[in-house]
Amino acid sequence: MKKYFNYFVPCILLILIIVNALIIVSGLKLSGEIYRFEIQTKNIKKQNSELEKKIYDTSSLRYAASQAAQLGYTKNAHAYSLTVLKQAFNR
Amino acid sequence: MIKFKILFIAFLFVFLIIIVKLISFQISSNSNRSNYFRTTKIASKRGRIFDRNKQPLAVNQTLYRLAIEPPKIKDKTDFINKIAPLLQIESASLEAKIDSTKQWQLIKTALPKETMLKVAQLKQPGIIFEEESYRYYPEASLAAHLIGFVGKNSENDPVGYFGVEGYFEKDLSGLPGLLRSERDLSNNPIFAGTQEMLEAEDGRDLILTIDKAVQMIIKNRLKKAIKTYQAKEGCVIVVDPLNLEVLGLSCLPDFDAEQYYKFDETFYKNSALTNLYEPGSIFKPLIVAAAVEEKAIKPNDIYNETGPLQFGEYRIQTWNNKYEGKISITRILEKSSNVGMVYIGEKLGNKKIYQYLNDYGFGKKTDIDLQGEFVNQIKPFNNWYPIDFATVTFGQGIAVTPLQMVKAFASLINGGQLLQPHVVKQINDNSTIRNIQKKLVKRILSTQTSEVIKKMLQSTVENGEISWAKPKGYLIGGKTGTAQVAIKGHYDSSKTIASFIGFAPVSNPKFLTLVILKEPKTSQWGSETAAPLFFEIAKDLIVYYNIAPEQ
Repeated sequence: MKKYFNYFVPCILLILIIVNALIIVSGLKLSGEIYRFEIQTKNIKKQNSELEKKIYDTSSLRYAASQAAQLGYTKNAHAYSLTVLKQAFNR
Repeated sequence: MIKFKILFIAFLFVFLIIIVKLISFQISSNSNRSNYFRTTKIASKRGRIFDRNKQPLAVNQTLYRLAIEPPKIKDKTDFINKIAPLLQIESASLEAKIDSTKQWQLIKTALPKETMLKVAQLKQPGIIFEEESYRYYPEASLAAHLIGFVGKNSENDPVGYFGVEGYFEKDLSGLPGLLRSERDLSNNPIFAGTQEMLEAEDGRDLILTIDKAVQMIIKNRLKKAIKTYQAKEGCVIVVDPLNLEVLGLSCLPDFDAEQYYKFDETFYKNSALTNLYEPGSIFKPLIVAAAVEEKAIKPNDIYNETGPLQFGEYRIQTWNNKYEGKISITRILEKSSNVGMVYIGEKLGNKKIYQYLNDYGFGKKTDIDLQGEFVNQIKPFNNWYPIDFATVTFGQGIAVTPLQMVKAFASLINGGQLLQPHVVKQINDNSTIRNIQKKLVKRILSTQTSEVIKKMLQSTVENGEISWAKPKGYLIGGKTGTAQVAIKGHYDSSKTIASFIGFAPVSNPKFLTLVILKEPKTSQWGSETAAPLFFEIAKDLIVYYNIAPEQ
């Protein structure tokens, strides 16, 4: 009995050491992943805000005005209906 | 055996030292806890600002702050030659900042990503980039006075100033979060350690009542008019008279909200809320409406306009010193007769004049949701002289802000309701939407009086002294105003504030517009400067709102 006990205790200790080491390693891995995801989330948010800015830029009146100037659409078109009432009344 | 005992005691001693040291690290020395406990403030995202069609007016962008660690810079000359041109700063000023006695030195803020990447590619040692959130205005300074700007407070935190940014600072800024985390030397979180996070609460988004197309129309027209009429400054306010939502507000000169620090503080003031001026003849319809409401006069009552009136040392005359004899009340408005207005004032009575000035909201804040409103109080009734009651009937001797004028005038054409003007239509956060409804301050006039005064104002536009380039088929109501500028208790006849307040269509007003030009040089009269500008804006708005002709 004592002989078995002498083998059993070191075995249990060895298993505990291995399990402990595995937990530490997986803990390290997990914390590494948390950190990686933190960075990724931050980058995605940053990219998102950059893309949002580009969209807002291209849909702005300022951009439309600059494009119109580049393409030579500089004269204001007057609404025909303001002077020809038939048009306004759709007659 | 003795050797083993000595070895055992030696090991025991070493372990004891380690244990004692660990205890001192873990328990006794609190300061050391900060070595692995990181408490970070999580910045909240500032709320965005949109116009009424959800088009962005103010959003956020990430820019970079460049700092250096001078001791790490080995070749100073090479560093300056490479970095200075990219940052567009003088070599001498960069050189002055590289002080090797300092551990950290800020070089430039608000660097765009492209510049940051170019600098980073140089791989120069001693360069640090820090991210910073800045406001970005896709429409630049289109609505600078309305939006305000985001500056810094004494603790270098972003704070909104003026306009909506200032008024809704608490809603827009949100609440910062907190991250308390045990980290190892490489900044990785320790899995079994403490990880506490209090999420940041992002700021609320604001949907304004402003329409950026209307804003663009009025700003461009105003800019052109200031140049054409050589005015010192100008202001245009467009509101929906039925709910007093501000559709557009532009006062020039204004400022660039992104580079606000390059402008003098005087540019930040929104003159529509802060500039007190004598309104002149655009004030007349308010007194006429009060007299109609009190049944002191009727539109067709006859007044005999014979000549100037004398009040002690003061002489009151018409703008052109011409008198038409027997004229109707409507004609008094049409020809903007000062002496006729004194007659109406007398019929109304001094107490009622004073009461209506208070009812219209003069002397009180309009309570618009913009930061920086300023008003002065109306002097007590007992301090008024008879001449004051006479001149106030044609808008002189009283100082009002343009916004007060718009608030009061809207009540004439919306059925008699005095409403609180507002700029924010909706406040949104992630879960809730809060709509801002129209707020009735007081009912001043009856619907009948409102209809009467609308017709009188339509007649004023149609039969006024000058025929303007009006859009055909549309019924427009309005009134011109030319107020002399009071300087040290006297009026300077060469300096005037020209204005026009008008609305369209008359039957169901879609917009009410106040146009003010300060000290125009080409003509001092509102009918020759502010009125043409109003009709240009009105034409654009009629097309934009697709309003059908009434005739």
